[in-house]
Amino acid sequence: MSVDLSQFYEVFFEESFEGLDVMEAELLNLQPGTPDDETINTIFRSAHSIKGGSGTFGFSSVSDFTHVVETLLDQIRDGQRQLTQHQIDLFLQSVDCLRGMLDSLRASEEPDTQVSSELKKQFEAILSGEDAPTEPKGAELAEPSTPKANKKQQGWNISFKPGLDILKTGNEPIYMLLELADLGEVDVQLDVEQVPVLGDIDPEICYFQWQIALKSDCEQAAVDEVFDWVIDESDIVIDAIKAEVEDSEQEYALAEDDNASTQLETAESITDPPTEVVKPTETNKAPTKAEPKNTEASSIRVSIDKVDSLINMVGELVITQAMLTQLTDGELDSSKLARIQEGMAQLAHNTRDLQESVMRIRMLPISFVFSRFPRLVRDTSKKLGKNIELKLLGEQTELDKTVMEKISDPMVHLVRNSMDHGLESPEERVASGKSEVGLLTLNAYHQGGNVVVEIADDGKGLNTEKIRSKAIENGLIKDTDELSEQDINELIFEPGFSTADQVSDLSGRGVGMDVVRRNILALNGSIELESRPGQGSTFTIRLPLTLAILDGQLVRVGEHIYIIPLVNIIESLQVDVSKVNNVGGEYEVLRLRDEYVPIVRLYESFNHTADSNKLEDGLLVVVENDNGKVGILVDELLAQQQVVIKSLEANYMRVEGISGATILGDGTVSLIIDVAGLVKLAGINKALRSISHLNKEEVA
Amino acid sequence: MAEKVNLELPASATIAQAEELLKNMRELFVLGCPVEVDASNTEKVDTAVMQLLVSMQKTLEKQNLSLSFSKTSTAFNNAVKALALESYFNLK
Repeated sequence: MSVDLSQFYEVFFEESFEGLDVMEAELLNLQPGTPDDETINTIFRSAHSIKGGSGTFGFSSVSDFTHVVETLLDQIRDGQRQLTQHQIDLFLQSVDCLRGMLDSLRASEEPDTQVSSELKKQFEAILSGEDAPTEPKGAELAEPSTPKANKKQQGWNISFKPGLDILKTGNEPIYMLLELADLGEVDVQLDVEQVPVLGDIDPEICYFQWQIALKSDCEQAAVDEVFDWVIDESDIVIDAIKAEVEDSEQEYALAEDDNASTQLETAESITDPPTEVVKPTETNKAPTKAEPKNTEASSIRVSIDKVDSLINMVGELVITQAMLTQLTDGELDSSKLARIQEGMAQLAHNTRDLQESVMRIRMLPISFVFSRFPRLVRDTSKKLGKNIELKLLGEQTELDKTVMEKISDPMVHLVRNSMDHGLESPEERVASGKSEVGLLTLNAYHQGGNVVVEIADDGKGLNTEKIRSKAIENGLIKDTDELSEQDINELIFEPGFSTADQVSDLSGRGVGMDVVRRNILALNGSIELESRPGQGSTFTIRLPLTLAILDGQLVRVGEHIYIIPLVNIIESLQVDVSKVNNVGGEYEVLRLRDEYVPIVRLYESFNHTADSNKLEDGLLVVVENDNGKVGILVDELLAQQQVVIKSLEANYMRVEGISGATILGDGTVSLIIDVAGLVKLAGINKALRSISHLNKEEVA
Repeated sequence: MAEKVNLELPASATIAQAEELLKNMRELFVLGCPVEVDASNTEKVDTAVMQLLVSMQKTLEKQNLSLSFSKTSTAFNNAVKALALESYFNLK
């Protein structure tokens, strides 16, 4: 009888990825010399399991490669050889390589064996004693094939197929191409094949693709760095242009030798698989969309505790349901009413508990995100020549899986910016009386129904004067504007800084903080910045625990019931019309204590009727969004309740000012207000901007 | 032959203006005329906008119409060069 092993593939992949995570975490703790037995045993066990599993399932490329890794680990474990830094780097590269191979296999594709073959040769050289046990010097990272290729290479052939969304995330190919041109002589060939006609084009998607021949003696690391910000989402292949030693006049040509082709590797490859390698010949024949692969895990592991709790809740529910069935069997009389009511209350209680238990299943510790940073910090600090210590706090803080997946990239941006621009070089730190080791702290904790994530460094803080001049140059503020230091620092989140002539201390290569903020706002979160000159800066991200359920305030306008997210609401009040002014016939503002609040009439924005169009007859719900406070005029405040969010876009279409919908207890559909969208819809952005100046003057 | 219509690129022609620019391009295309782009005041231009121009040229070509450039700024020329669009736009 034959067994279909494919049904176990997913379990194998999940276990293998977990094993690789363990390997990587332990490798990062290793120091050259004689390692601690337990650490090396843990790494060995992970490698051994992957080898065994891959062999069982017939993934011979993985098992063959893991075999040599395991052999070297075994010799180190037995004390037959001393562990060197070079070997640690090699093991880490093997982890990346295995991730890439497993990702391909998971996607039912043939794994690329170029990198593994090259690494395997290096392992075999070590095992046979042929390798020169040289330690890598300086801040360079050992690359699998670079040392060999560099000896003969005259340049690099680069196939760059940007991810579709790179423009949305503030990345600009022009800057990348200019950076490449700085490295040497470039011959750029643009492929416009994928650009659609006007009727089909999405202006924010990147359709261009390039083939670039770079004539330069630069190292691959320099080329890699150009694409650092886009590697995760793009297809990038870098081939060394080879010149035979005896024939230095050889023409530019695509390197045919597989050994000279390497995948671009960056620190982020710790959790993201290396980008897909596309052979140049195939590329030319069939240009494909640079659609990033969806490699997100389709399943999550849930602790037995959570499953037990769920089963317990369901048991309670069944008991309550049985009790109610029994009570309602036969004739209903008033004597049963009290017990039925009690049963219904119990049912509501059980349902709520069940809902919470189900939601807990999606909650994972934030260590899933934090775990990528030790490798990122290690590799980036090496590249930058900085000494950086990473401190992780609150790793067990739980967060919804979806929120977690979406917060990862913004956090990487913030961490990289802190390392690149916040933390100083050892020399600068010593000169300013600090320890030469910079401290980067990631801290997560729960606060008031939110998860707070702090990214703090003890670097030099933001250069307020530089930010101010950039803002003036970009027209974000006038040179006569008197802004506090905090207000100026907050300007780094403005879109004007994104496309960047690389000025602000926290930009650099065209990746803007506005993108980071936009992504966080899209999660109904917020980001704050605190900078202490000479002492460092802290970014504080606040996120909802989950995206599936929202605490909302139900409001009625005419016959319609809307939901305003409670997180946005500051207060509700009756309007004192004597304090309302009409500004330029365009919008109404209410003077509320020491500030002005523009008023949005919900019935006007959504084009229906209300009970009354008089301000004094309604209630004003004052909400806060990114740009300031706004008063939403409603007829009546109803209950506050948790609502399950349904996507309007998926079920109907996107509607400006509405973030989603929910189904109320009586079966009617209620729309959830998107405060930022409503402000846009009501056309009061301009009002908010001018009022923000007014408010500042008032406060001053 | 139909008269050329003019498309003036703004000083800042970036992804932030791309949606608006696309709207203008679609409106111009409906006129069924060749389009002449004036990029003389363009101080900042990015890939998103360059793609729109490529898309417009493709769209016009399908109707046997053309896209040409009357004046271009240095910033615009630099971006065209960096992206390797010189021959595509015939701007060598």
